[in-house]
Parts: sequence; C-alpha cells; structure tokens
Amino acid sequence: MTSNHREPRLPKRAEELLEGWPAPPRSALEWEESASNIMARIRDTSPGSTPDELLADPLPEEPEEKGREAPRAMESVPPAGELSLAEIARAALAGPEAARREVARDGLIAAELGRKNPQREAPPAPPAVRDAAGLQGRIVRVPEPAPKPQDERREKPELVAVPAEPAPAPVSEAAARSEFPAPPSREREPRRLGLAAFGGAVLAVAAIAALYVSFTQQEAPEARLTASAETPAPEQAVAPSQVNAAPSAAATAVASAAPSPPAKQLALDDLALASKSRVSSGNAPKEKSLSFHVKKESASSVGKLVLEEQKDNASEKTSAPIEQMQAQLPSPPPEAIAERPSTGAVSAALGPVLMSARSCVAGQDSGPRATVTFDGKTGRVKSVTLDASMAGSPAEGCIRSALMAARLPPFAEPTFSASVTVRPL
Amino acid sequence: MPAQKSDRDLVEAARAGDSEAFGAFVRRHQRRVFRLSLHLLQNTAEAEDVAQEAFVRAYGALDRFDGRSEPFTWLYRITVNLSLNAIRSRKTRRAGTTTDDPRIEAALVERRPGFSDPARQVTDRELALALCDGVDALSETLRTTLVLVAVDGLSHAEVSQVLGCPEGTVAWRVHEARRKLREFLSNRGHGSDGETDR
Repeated sequence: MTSNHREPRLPKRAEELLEGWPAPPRSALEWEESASNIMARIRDTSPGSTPDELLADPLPEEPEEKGREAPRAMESVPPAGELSLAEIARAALAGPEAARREVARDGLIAAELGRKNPQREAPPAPPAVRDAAGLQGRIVRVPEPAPKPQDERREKPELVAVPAEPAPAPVSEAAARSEFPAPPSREREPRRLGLAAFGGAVLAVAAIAALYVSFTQQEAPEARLTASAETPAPEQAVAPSQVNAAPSAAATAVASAAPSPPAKQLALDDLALASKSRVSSGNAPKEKSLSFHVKKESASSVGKLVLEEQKDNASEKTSAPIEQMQAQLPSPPPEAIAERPSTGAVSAALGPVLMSARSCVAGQDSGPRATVTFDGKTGRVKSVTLDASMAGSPAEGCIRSALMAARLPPFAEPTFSASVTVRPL
Repeated sequence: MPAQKSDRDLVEAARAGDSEAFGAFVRRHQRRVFRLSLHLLQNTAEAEDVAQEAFVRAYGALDRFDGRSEPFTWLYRITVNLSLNAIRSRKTRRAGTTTDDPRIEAALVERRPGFSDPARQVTDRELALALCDGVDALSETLRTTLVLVAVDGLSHAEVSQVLGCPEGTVAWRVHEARRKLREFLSNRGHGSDGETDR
C-alpha cells in the first residue's frame, strides 16, 4: 500500500445517500405476499435443479486488477532455477574472498551498465554471483504491468518503496530505488546523457567508500538490512518488480547518493551488506543458516520493507565505522501517523464487530444507526451512540459492547466518528 | 422459533426437508436481496423477479451449499449472477437515470435530516440523480462491488465470499469505484466537501 493513501471520499451528502441506500418502501403485506410466492414456487422446485453457473464467481476481473496482483510476487518463492534474494546473499557470504570482491565489482559494473543501457530487461546476474552460488540460474524480474494513465496508477494501492522526500535529481531517484533505472522517455534522453558523467562519479565515490568499509571491517557484523521509506507521492512509486530485484552490491553503492535520510540509511545499510561480502572467510562456516524475509508492513501509512538476515552464529561483531557513519546521519523520521483513518481502515475495523452487532438485532425488521467515535491516540472506541429508537432496549447494550471492540491504528486527530447502520442478520 | 435460529440452522433444516425453515430464511433476507437486485438492475419489476428467482435457485442448490461461507453470501452470489444475467440479456441499454428511477424515490422518501426543506429536497434529488448516473457509468465489476460494500454495507470479507475474489481485490475495486464516482460527481458540479487523495 502506498503510504498516506486515502480512500477517495465523495461529498458528504453523497456519502450519506450512498450508505444504506434503501429499497422502495413496501408494506408488510407486500413482503408477505412476495414470500408466499417464493414458497409456492419452491414447492415445484426439485433439489439439484439449479445450474452450476449460478453458483460460480459472478464477475470478470477488471483490466487493471492484473497489475495490482504484482506485489504478491514479492512474497512468493522464486521458481526453480532462479536466484532468490537469499541465495544471492548466501553466495556473497559463503564464497571465497576473491569471489566476494568479484561480486562487488561486477555489481558496480552492472549498475553502471544499467544506467547507460536504456533497455528495460534486467542484465544477467554477474558471473561471480552465479558461480559463488553454484547455480546456473538467472535473475528474473517480475514483469511490470502494462503502462497505464498517470492518474490510474496514482490511485492504485500498491506496495512501493520510494524515498521519503521527492528526489530532485534523477541520480538520487534511481539510487533510492536501488534498481537499474527504467528506460527514459525520448524527451528525457538529453538530460540522461548529461547526468551519466555525474552518475559515474557518484558510483566511483560509492565504490571507494564500499572498499574502505570492507577493508576496515574484520569480521562479518550483524547483517540486517532495513529499507524504510515513506512514499510522498505515488508518481514516484517504484514498480514491484524493482523492489523485487536482486540487491546487487552495485545498487547498494548507488544508493549512497540519495539525499534523503531514509535513502542514506538504505545506502549505509547496503554498504554494510556489501562489505560483509568481502570479509575474510577463513573462519566462516561454509554452510550458514541464513534466511531473508521480506516483510510488508502496510497497515500504517508508511511502506516499510525489512530484509532481515538471521544467522546461527552467536559471535557477531558490528562494524564500528559503519555505526559511526550511521550515527552521524539524521535518523529517519518516525512512522507517519495518518491525519485520520482511511475509509478502508474504518471498514476493516468495524467489519468484524459489525457482524456481532448485527446478531444483536437478528430477526428484527430494521436496525439502528450507530455512531462510533474512535480515540486518535489509542485507536480504541471512545463512545458508541445509537438511535433514540434503541434506547432502553435489550439490544442496545449488546450492540454497544460489540462495537466497542473495534480497533483502529492511531491517527493524528483527537477523535474520529464513523456512522454505521446495524442491519439485522 | 425460526426467527431466532441462525441462517445456518435454517439452511440445514431446509436441506433436511423443512420448508418452513426455508420460509423463515426467505422472510429474513428478502428485503436485502430485493434491494441488491434493484440497485443492480435499476428496475423494480426486474428486481422483484430476480429476488424471487434467487430464492428458488438457492433452494434448488441447497445440496451444493458446502457451508464454507455464510448462507446469505451464498444467496447474494446467486442474486448477483441472476442480476448480471438479466442485464446481459436486455435488448437495449438504459440511456441514463430518469427521475422516476426507483432508487431516487427510495432515497428521497427516507426521512433524513433536512428533507423537510424544499430547497434541500431539490438539491438532494439532483445529487441522487447524479449519483445513480455515476454508479451506472461504472463497469459491471466496480458497480457490483461498490453496491455490495457501500450500499448494502457488507464487509470486504463478505464481499470477497460473494464475488469469489480476494479481499484486497475488493478493496481496490471499491477504491477505484469511489475515485471514478468522485470524478463523475465533480464534473456534475457535486464535487465540494469531498476529501481528496494525498
């Protein structure tokens, strides 16, 4: 989900009109007549007479829905023969010293080639990576969805990882993506060529920094790569395939050019990972129990990717230079709290408890309208107000206690009220 | 007393041959099924037919109700399928919402605060008309999902059972439908006080 993502709200009156839009009023006699007609027809209906088509999924997919399924590929296991994120990392850590340096160097070269080469296709994995992994696979990216109009893409709730602030320079933008850049449009080509030299210089600086860190580091420290990025504008959203790409050392190094704090954090963390790939392997076990998890923390308005490496080794030392550099950087901003909860969050909070509330008025003709007020700090229900028609009825307390169980993520405003109609079950 | 029994109890009893139990199930859900089909079909007579047909078809398929979903979501699925079949079998497409659209009357008859004000009634009628036009302009998929969530008040989980798609897809469809509806209303001059995306 994009952060700061809000459900589009209709004008207030339109929302009121849409919510609980009633059917034309009919008398109880008319309803009873209708029910009698149904029952009369049922007497002539034999079991099993309904065709299966009426029980099938009713609706076709929207054309745009195919694209929005892409983020799930992040959580899936790559097909056999393809290098997974964990395999690449394992290769970087398990190979001999020379191979690790080769990995880093090839990564840098690949990144530079990626910048110069406008092809959309991802270049093949550096040979050192494949050799170190002992696999003859290939790195395959998730195909990107077909291009869509700008506004449609903006509205789509997708998992993205983008810098916290709008990146002013293309180099920074690409660096924050930690990915080979997308092919430029024709009008952007001159600017791209002009920036190639600058990008090369940045890469060189990053490579030097990476090598410096690797030589000063004696032993593999804790390998925890955290890419935390707030999404300020959906236009800058990185396609899921980009997030899913292999974290080459080159992309890591490029990230050091990013100006925003999260991007810098990413760069440093990536540098740490790159340096780990070059540490001495004399006492390192060949087979380490490593696993990478890609976590999606999308409940809040901040998209956060956490790549976590778990190691069995108890004796882990941290890299002092890296920590010093990290300490000098401004810490990334705390998770942004939404001004108010989105409609989706409110629906998700009220949906489960609404079923309980509806059971309180089961069998009745109509249900009351309830206004649930949430406390912004805790996200808990502060109060539940029901229609006057329910006052004193047995169902009042039942509904109230059911709705009190709703929970929202905390939000900035002091309170937020949502109205729901508790329809009878 | 049948009214106190759960839907599952009623359906189980009906499967065992208790037609009265199914009668209770019909009386419990006929209003909602009628309203759903009305919002999908925009025609009272057709909605009435589909609502009745939905119960008859549900009865004819009781042996295939596997109990994995709630009986009413299963009934809704049949209703949606029947409504879509009716729409697709129409010989002519509706040109647009007319003032005698049953949905408009239904919305305006309900007593809401401010409905006693004639000026407000005119504004609300125009808004309801625009809203109906906007909903009708949505694709079949978006419209059905929006009606189930926004109008009928089903949760995303329930709608995912009705439509047989993931909850995330339901959420996306609702989001997309609302966005398009907001644009439509804005073009019709009803865009004020809507919260914008950020």
